[in-house]
Amino acid sequence: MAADPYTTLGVKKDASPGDIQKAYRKLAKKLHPDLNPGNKQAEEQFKDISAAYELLGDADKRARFDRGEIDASGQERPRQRYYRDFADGDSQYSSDAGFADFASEDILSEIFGRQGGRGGTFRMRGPDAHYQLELDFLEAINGGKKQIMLPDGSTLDVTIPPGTRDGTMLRLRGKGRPGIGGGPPGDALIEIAVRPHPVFRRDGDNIHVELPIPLRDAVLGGKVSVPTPTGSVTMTVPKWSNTGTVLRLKGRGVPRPNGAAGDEYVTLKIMLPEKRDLALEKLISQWAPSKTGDQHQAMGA
Amino acid sequence: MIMETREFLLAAHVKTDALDAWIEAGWLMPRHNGKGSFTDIDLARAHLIRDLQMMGVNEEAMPIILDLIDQMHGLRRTIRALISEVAAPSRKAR
Repeated sequence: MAADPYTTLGVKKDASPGDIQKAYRKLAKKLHPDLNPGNKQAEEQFKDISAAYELLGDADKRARFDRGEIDASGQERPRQRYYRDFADGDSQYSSDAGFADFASEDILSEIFGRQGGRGGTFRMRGPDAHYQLELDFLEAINGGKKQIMLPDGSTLDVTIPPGTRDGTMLRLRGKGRPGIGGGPPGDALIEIAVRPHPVFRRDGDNIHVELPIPLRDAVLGGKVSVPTPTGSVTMTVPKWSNTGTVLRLKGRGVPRPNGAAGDEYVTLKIMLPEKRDLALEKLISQWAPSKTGDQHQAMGA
Repeated sequence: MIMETREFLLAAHVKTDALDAWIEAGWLMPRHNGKGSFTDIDLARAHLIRDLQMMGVNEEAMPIILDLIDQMHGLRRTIRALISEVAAPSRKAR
């Protein structure tokens, strides 16, 4: 049962037609769904006041209502959809006049890249789609191909350039969301996160690695195998190399776009044999260093 | 839904000469003029024009209001696109 139309419009039973019209207009301006497209409640209220005005705004209907010949129900104007329900889409009425001057703003032109729409027709580049891709340390250094699984089940092929850094944003042109009104699609933006490596550490284009070497090689020198991002290489350890000695492997670091590469820095770390070696203990016990206090000197004490 | 002129006049509660005047003034722009074919958006817009007239909007003010409403919808659409752009959840790739 509909509410009393007089109450709905907020007028007295003996209001003049002019008062009723004034009351309706005042409410309609506030509640019309097309003047308040973001207000979802307005629609219900507007329906009520429209129905009330449909009844009271017509002298004949109002008189019949007042005499009790008709009631307030069944007076609702049947009306399914408002202009706002269509106006958000592309139509002959679409207008970009409210922001056409923003098109030169960097961010907006980047996002919209609108292409000369004809006479008010609205065309817009599709939005960019954002993804995150985690790479293993070596995948990022050496580059390669990866696939991203999209929410709709399709896949996106991503080429990882060699030497990709953590936090890099890769842009795949036209792989974003579809355009609006025939506009071009947006781009896919892929943010790269690189997982750390247990052995390698990256510093710019250089790779740092800590290499344990046997005591024998440290004292007498020798050839040792060193891991690099592209595989192991053999390196010569000079005679009498102490823990903390840094050796450089030129061109064994991160590949650069120009084909060159950074270096790998190898920090030596002397390791005693894992098992107790009685022969070595005997040797050391017979060894009489010419000077004492080396350790304290090294600490600067 | 495509409507012919007769259907449209009934659904929109407008008289023929009023409809002609609206089209003449550019308030309504049916896509395929001449044959008289109207779509749902034309109907919704006709209702809007009628409502605005009932609210006391006169002939001079009508095109201004319609134009501003169309601009507002263009802006709403832009804001919606911006929001989806900005708030797009980063999808974790596998």
